[in-house]
Amino acid sequence: MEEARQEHGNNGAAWEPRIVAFICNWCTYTGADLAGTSRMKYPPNVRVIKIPCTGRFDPLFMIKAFERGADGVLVSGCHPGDCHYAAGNYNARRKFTVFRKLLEFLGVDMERVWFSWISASEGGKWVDTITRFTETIREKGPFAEYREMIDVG
Amino acid sequence: MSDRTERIREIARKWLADGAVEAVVGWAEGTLGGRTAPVLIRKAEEADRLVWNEHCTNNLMTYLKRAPVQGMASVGIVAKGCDIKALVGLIQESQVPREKVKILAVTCPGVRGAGGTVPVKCRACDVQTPVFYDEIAGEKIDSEPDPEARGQELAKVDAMNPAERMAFWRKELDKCIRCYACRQACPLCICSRCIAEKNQPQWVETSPHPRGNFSWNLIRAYHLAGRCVECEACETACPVNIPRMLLNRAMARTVKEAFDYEAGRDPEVQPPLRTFQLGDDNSFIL
Amino acid sequence: MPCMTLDSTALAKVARDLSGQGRRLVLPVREGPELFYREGADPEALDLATIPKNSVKEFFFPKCDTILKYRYTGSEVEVEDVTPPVEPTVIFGARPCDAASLSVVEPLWNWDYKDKFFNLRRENTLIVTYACRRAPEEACFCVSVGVSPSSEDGADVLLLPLDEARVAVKFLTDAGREVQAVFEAYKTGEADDAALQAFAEEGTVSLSHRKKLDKVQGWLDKHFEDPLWEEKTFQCIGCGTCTFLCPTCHCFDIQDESVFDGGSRLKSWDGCQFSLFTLHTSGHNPRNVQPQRYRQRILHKYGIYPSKFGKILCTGCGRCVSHCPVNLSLYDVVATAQERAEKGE
Repeated sequence: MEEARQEHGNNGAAWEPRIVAFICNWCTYTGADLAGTSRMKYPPNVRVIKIPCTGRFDPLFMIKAFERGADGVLVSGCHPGDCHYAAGNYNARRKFTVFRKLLEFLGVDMERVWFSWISASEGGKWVDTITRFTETIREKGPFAEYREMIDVG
Repeated sequence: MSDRTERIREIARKWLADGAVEAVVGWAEGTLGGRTAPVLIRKAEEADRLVWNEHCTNNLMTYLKRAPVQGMASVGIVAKGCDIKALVGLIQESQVPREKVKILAVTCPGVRGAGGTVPVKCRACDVQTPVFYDEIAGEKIDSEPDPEARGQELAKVDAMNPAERMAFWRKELDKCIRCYACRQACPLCICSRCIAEKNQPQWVETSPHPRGNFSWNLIRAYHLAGRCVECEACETACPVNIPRMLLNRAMARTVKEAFDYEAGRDPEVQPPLRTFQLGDDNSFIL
Repeated sequence: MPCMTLDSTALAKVARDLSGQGRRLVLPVREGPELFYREGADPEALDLATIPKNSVKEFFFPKCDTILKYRYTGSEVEVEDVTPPVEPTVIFGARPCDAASLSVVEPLWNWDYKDKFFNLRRENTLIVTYACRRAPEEACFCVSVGVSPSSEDGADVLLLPLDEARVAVKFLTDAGREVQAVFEAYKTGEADDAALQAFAEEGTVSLSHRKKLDKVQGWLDKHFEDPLWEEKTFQCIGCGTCTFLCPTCHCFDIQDESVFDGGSRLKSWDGCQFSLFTLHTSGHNPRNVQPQRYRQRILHKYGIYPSKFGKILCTGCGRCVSHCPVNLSLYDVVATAQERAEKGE
């Protein structure tokens, strides 16, 4: 585990949590933007991937993120009832329900997979969520066991 | 058993002679002891090739996605209750028009796997006398499904902590050789180009190393969530004995608990991931 | 010339001793209802009841093999040639059909390119073959393709279980003779040529119902467009089971997998039964229905490969028959071709 914390790609620097956040354009992304314009401080570990709506989210995104080095994945969008496309987040909610149970059944640590509804005005909630998530992952360490399951003979 | 064989032949003969269907897909005697082989017959005289016995394990609905059946306007398919559930799923998803398939249902006391084992699906079966069909062979059977059968399988993994589960699945999925027998045998894996066969972009790593295997088996389980009818064709076909029904049953359990939905029962009902309720579980979302 | 015998209960100990000499040990063990060749298993778990579900192919041609690595440095690419991780290995209890498969595919891996990934593994592996007194499975047909239940092909050491208790041992190659002492430590007696002869005959007789498939190649030359292909292959679902379990099938796909600043080139198993196997970039697929793909399989094994390398690309192990999920028997197809050829059809 300690070796993983000194992994390549960091130029020998100590490991920092890599958070990937799939966030919807209309609510959470705007909320994050608000946090920025308000000069609110939060850990820089998050990499944001903007999707038009959480309804666009596909579990493959999460798998790919873990394969490529994410230590934690957040998916966030508009509150139920506020979806810009009316029902995208309702469909997404069902996908989340099913997929997280599958991950849990496989033994993936559920604390590495977070879901949230963050609206365009909730810059503070964005900051709070990212901060708490980053701290959680920092304590857990890298998700090396997923990324490194590639040993071939 | 032989009454059913006779009745199946009689019905198939009639359908073919009348031109009601272009062909009938059923089971024929296999080339090995304890096996049957799927067969396609086009003429009434060939009906005597059809048999029924406890080795009629294959789900013949899988042929609906393949040539030549895919191109036919009408086809008769001999089917057990579990096989018919797969067809119900295909009709729900508008993949197969109801009019295309004439269902030759068989009342089934249960099939036997390799070495005479009783499949979990048979122990849990409540469709020994199918309810959705065009004609039926065999006398009615009153099912006594074992309500514990499916849960017992899952209990083993439920009892493990996350690290143990990961180690368990690592070990099992490491065996995968990416033969796609699971996909090919499954009647509900119907995509003309599977996600694993797309490379622009390549979402699923095709190499059979553990990480690629995780990706493939995970995605397949997810794509079947709420659709799998637990016919066990995938696990039976798997040449490296991966206990993949555990994944499918876990998904079926989640879908039942979260959306009160069971696959393959009612062709009129919307599949669960195509719809939603305002009151769906929100508890895990911040 | 008489050869030594040992007690069948000593076999696990011999396996342990051979591995103790610094070799990775591969042997058949039971997993659930079936046997599998596995590396690193406990020698006490040695199970020789029947033919394992997997072949020994994966120990010479793994399902996924790294063939090179690369790294981007600025605008350059550094390529690192990879030598496969090879250690001295013993496969203890290989079936004759599996051992024979190695000499069938060896010319292919050394044809226009000397494949070090196969060769290094082959050179470093000692094969202790366990002959079959009688054909272990209903699907076996090794005698049809020039192999036999007591074939010495590919073996360094041959074990012949003369009866429940006694196993005769023959040392066939230099590598086999080098480990003779390990076996002799458990010697309990001797067996003469007559006993070995009787053993070989018992094996062959157990497969006397199998046809010799010597006219198939000729028939295939003249029956490319034959209704046989459609008649026989309806049930095929195009999975890779037969090709991947087959000890002689060897098609592979090459993929580069990169992460950030570098990656590896991987060679993985591929199969001609997959629908996209012959898809062209133009979108045309010359084998876009299963009868065509299955025909290709038979043609390659019983027609093309023998023309090129003088051997049938099949050792009659029967796995394709036993484990086909839809009971499509390759033997049935080629035997039908043989029958028709014999009748002059």
